[in-house]
Amino acid sequence: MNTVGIRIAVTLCVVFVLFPVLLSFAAATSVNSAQGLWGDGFTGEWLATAWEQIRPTLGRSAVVAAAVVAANLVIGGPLAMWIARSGSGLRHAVSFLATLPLAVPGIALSIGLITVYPELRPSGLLLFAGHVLLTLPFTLAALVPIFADRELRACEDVALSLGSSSARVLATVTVPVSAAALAQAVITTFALSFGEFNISFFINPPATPMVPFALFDAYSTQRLELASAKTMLFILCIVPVLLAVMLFQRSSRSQKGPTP
Amino acid sequence: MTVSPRSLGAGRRRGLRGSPDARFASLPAALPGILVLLVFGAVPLGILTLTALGLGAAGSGEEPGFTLGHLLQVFADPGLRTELWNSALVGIGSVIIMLVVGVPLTLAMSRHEQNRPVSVLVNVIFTLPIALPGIVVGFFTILMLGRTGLFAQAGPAFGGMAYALPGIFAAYIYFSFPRVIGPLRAVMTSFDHSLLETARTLGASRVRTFFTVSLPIVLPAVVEVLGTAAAVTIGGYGTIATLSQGERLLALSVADELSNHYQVASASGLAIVLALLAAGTLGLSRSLAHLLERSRR
Repeated sequence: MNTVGIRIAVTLCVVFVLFPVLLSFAAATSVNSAQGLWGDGFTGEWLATAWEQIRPTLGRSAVVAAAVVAANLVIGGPLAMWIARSGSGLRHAVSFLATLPLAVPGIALSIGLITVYPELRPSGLLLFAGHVLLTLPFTLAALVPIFADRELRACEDVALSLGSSSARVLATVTVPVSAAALAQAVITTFALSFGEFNISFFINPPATPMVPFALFDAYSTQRLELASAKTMLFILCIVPVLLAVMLFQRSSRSQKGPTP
Repeated sequence: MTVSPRSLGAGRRRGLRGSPDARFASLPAALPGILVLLVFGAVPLGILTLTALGLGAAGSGEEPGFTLGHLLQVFADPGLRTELWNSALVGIGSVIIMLVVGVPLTLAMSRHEQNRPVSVLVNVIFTLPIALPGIVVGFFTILMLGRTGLFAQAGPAFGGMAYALPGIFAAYIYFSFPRVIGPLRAVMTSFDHSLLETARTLGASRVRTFFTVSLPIVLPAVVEVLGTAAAVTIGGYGTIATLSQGERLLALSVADELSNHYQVASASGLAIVLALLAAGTLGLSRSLAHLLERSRR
């Protein structure tokens, strides 16, 4: 493929991804989409109504996602370190265990979870645990390779040999060098938890719906315009998160230069 | 790696193992993570399997006691058999279609990027669908191919296509787009384009170079991407839940059995079959990738 060919192919892919998003925006701002997009005029009414209705669920999902991110860092960080660096034979078994939530569909895991721990369901703890289980493999996938990296370990050796304490090496060498991977883990975890549907469909107490469930409800019961408006608000919440990780990755890559 | 006396001393400090490789790696610190995986992953899956065999909880009107009936109903019931077939077809088929587009595209992009990096914006756009839950992808399909969708206004043949197999295929292609393009882009960054130059200067055509040089090099990685993406697509519930008015996939019946009929054992049986299909695809692709990798050496 020559340069022009690649540009055309990339542009087609961009259109493929963005077209439905733009269509959804057009439907959300149409007075009556059955009369054609903007056929009866342009309005912000649907977006305003959608915001009023979906705001509590957006907030609730964001809080849960933030807690899931924190849990991933607190328990996933040390776990990734152990898988990457310990010589124990047990780590192969644990790595295999960590791939289970990737291989097994979310609805299968959800049914297992509600059968075994029904008493955790009303408090929302089971939802939280389910989200942590589903996101942990992604944190490990981001962190294990960088923690196993030979250059990182060489840098730690140098710092230790110069007399730094372990805690200082961890804070000033290990974490900064792994920053891009850590950011990747945080963003992936947040996005996955924020948009997770299976667990919020099966496990979550109905009185406190998460935003994906609210969207599903809108899709099956409400007007196309209102459902589109809610979808737009959901996407507007998740795009900044994606942009942040991309910009962060780019800046850390250019700072890093040839040697980390 | 050379080890200075100082770092050996550090290795003997509390909480660190004797080997310098094990720095910051301690089992007690890793235990909470292992426990989460065991308690909320392995145990529920074990219980799910027992329930599917009739040895666990039973729903309304379900007889407790060992049986293979819940697992085998998917082959006995013609409706469920079709759903199983559709799940495999849509899950694997949509990923293969994405690969046919994605492999040449990402290969060409990686070469192009050696001269000029692709913009952050393109990367964000290519990654965006991964943050969209399946239900949103399903809704997009309704907006375009639903009964009153955009394309229905263009031609009546498109109306309602969202609920038939072609529409479901389109939805799952959109769903697997970032799950195929992302990993492929990562694989292609390490591709050595000088090999292609060599083949081309020796007189091979572009097509021949692709099939005899590029494809064999990337094939193990491509097979692995296929398995990983197909496992997610097969197990995906949100998209088909939104598009559930016509053609059905197996995930739909798993949910129906539980939430509409309260058939716990039957739902567990179907869930295990779905999990076996997804995990089997993943496992098979990994073994195949491994074999390809080994045969190359």
